[in-house]
Amino acid sequence: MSRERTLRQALLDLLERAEPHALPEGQLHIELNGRVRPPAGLAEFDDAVTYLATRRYIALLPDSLDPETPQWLITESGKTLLRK
Amino acid sequence: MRKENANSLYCRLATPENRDCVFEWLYIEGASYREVAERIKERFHIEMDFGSVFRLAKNHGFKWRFEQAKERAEREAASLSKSFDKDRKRALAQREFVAVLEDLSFKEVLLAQRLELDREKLKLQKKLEPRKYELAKRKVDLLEGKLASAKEAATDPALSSEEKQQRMREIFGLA
Repeated sequence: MSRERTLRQALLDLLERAEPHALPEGQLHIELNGRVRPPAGLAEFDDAVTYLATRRYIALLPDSLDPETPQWLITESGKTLLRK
Repeated sequence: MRKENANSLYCRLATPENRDCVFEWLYIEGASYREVAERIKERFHIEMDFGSVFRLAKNHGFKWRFEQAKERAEREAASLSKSFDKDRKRALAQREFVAVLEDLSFKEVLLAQRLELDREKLKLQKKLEPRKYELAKRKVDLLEGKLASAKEAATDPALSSEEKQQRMREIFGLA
């Protein structure tokens, strides 16, 4: 599996594990780096999140108490992708 | 999902209660992998090296941390007054989930750095040739400094969760 795919898969797995809750972006990065070697840098992490968000595999939590911090949720499409 | 090796520490701990006990040592008490390996030997009579504890934490620790955070969030939601609307309850439960997860994760970051430090110390003990010895010693000093700064940041009550995360990223070069 390519590095990009490994990162995307790990992100989806983490967000599915967090359900029904969302993960703040910073926390998602920390959790990801606890699972992948070598750790993902900020650019690599951003690329993976952008890829998943633009294809609607993940979505921003709409009613956060703290609108300054983006918090991510897995979508139904994301769950389907995870099982492929 | 990959099948767990029957000789792994996860399988040998056998019950969820035993695993909970080990994860509490790791993520609530903040014991090092080496300390936990010693406690496992004493309490469960299972002899494993600290590498096995590291693998247990890496492969299963996050699931345990997520479950803990979810349980706390559910309890928080259940304890809220009935006058709170559904959205407000959900938002407060979300906040509790994140707070618990962040707290447990800081310890995970510290544990991983402690392992790296232990590895470097081991190299020193193996009497490396002088130049390599110097390099390894410098790395140990650097990591000791990072670890001290990280502990300070993680326990600083004046810092918000975001500021703690930012400090961690700066300290460990993830920024």
